[in-house]
Amino acid sequence: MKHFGWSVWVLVAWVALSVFGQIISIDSTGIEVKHILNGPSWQSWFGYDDLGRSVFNRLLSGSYTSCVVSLTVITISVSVGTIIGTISGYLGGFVDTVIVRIIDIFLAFPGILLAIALAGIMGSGVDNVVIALSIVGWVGFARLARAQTLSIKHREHVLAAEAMGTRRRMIIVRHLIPLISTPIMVEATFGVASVIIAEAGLSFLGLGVQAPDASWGSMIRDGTRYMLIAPHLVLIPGVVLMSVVLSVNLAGDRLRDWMDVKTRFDGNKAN
Amino acid sequence: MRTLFVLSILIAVSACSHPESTSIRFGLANAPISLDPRFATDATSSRINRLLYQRLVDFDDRLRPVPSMATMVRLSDTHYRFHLKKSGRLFDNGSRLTARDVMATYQYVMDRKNASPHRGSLASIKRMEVISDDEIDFFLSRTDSLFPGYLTIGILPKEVIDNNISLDRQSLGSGPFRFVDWPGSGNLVIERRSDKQRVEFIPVKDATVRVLKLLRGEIDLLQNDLPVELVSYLKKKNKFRISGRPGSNFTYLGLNMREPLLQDTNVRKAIAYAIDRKTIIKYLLGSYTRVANAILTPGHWAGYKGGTPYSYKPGTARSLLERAGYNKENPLILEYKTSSDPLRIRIATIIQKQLKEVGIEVRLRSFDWATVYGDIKEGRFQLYSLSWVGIKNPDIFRYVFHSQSIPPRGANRGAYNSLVVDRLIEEADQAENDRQSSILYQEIQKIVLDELPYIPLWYEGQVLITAKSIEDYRLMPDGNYDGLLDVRKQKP
Repeated sequence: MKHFGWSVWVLVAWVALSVFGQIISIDSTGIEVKHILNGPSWQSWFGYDDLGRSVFNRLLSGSYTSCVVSLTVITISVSVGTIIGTISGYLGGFVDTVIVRIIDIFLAFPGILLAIALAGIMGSGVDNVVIALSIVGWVGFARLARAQTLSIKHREHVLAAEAMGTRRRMIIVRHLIPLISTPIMVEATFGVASVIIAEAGLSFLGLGVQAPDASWGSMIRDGTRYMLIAPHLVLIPGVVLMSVVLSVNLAGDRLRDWMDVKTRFDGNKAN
Repeated sequence: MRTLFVLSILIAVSACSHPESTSIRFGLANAPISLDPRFATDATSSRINRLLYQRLVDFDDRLRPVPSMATMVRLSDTHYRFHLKKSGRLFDNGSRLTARDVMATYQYVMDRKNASPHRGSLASIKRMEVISDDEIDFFLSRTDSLFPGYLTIGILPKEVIDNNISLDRQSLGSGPFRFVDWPGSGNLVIERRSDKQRVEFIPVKDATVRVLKLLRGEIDLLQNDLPVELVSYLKKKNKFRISGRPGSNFTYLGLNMREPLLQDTNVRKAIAYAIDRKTIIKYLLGSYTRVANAILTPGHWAGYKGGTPYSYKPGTARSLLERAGYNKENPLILEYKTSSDPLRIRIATIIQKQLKEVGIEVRLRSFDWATVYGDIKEGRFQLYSLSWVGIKNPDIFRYVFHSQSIPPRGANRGAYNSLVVDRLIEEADQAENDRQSSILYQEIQKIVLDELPYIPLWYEGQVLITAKSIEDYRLMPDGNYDGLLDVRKQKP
């Protein structure tokens, strides 16, 4: 933990508050007209929004949304991308050509634009955001997994397994995926950050979470209308979003360093 | 190269030098759509067209039809003669406005193949006859006590109509202002004939950006379409003149009478008692907004003069719901459609909360304007909220409540059907004089208020914010821009 620094504590707090908010079932939609657009005060540290709803409660609710969306999207993208990429790299030939072409087509299109188009076609809602981001997200992992597979598929242990007549499925699951998991895990941490941003972006455009449910992106969108009179509506979710994304990226960086045996070994020697 | 650079900087600086402009810059929430009075229906276009064109009839403070560019004589129940006034009849193209132009304009609008949205209101005109350059007769197919009030369409030159010249983005009127320019992506500029004072309309959709432009001096004048919080913010700045007045634009909650759930009067009344209109007005709409009881304001010659029967009484609402057979185990569940305008969503969310407090579950659905308006016209709704803007004639009752006015024939979108109201509307149309028709309209509004096909909410207030250099602009009850006739801008 110490190795990862403060960023991991921010992430632990993010996940813990998301879960905690759900356990105590905070009221993120309770309206109090007399509190409309009230700024932060001793009674309410984060103030109230344009319908008199507690910004703190909505932040917790939005935190749960971003947590669930990012973890679900990354789980789906990593699983699908790794399997497809490994199969493609290991089998080669026609299968590889077709998969690489499909990956190229996906990569030729800006990811967020494709997600916006998909979310637009499927309609708004958290589930559709998850589907749209997963459709876009698997490609990066597939490419990485394929490249890693190509670099290790001629290693002796794989050739030995093939010579012993091990089935291809077993080779992929036992001898390839465990060896390529390190870079994929590192990539996944960066993926979490981009999904959080993408979800906020889609919600900002009105394609994500639907009112009255909260999401950081939709909170920022709603807040922009009151930038002059109640800047806390944009600043607070903006700073929280930035902190979480920054922490995820920093944690990803540290994870990469930590998992790189050479760097870790050299680092230890230096110490 | 260096000269070119300096020149480009100078051009850029001059492009940013809005604040020193001598024209009056009027901030708009929506750009006008068409400057052709035969086709314009949106509020912004209609308000600007009032400045560019003259019309036969206008309305006084109590919204009675009064002569505008013509005096009227009622020769019989179905025969009206209009004498055009002598002066101020020059079109922008230099020709003089005559009775032939009046006839050409109305004939164009009444012609089915031209598909003018104003054709419906002129259905009672049988024919017209030009007596002289200054006189025109209108013959009606039936007695219609509201008739002169329909003649509010701006008069165009006959030559323009005959040559089929498009007037969507230009104008050839004879009104107090003349058209100057409206480039493709630029702002509409018009000029007051009397003193050549120019007015530039600057459309800015986002209210915050509009206010920022006002603060920066890029806009001189803002009228309405501002959240109450932004008005309070500007008040604190102490850099602007801020005034307001009660308005006449009517906001209501429409109910679908085809829905079995809403056919019970107790349910409709329960909804009316459950909405705390005063609180919504206080926190979201500002002090110039008034609680409404009918479409026409109490100041209108045919407006409802009675009291407010539905004040906020959650207890009464709960007992009415119980009487209708609803309780905690069997709650009333309704769907409420509204546009995606942020203020409308805020209001709808608060109404949803207030209805929940008395045991009515409301599912809120917000769509873009075209979708929600389409659904409402097709009758695909249980509850919806909309506003009637610029209503002057009591013919609105026929349009909205007559059983023959179910869309597409009218705007009876909730399919309200009352034989008594139908009969009273017919009688009011045939009434001998205003006094008699006023009594009948009062009766109609009383019945409607009791049966509640609409739940009246409020008349939205008017607010005006001007730079200190702007003087003599008057706010109008329906939010039109006639204040520009007298407005002045002091030189800096």
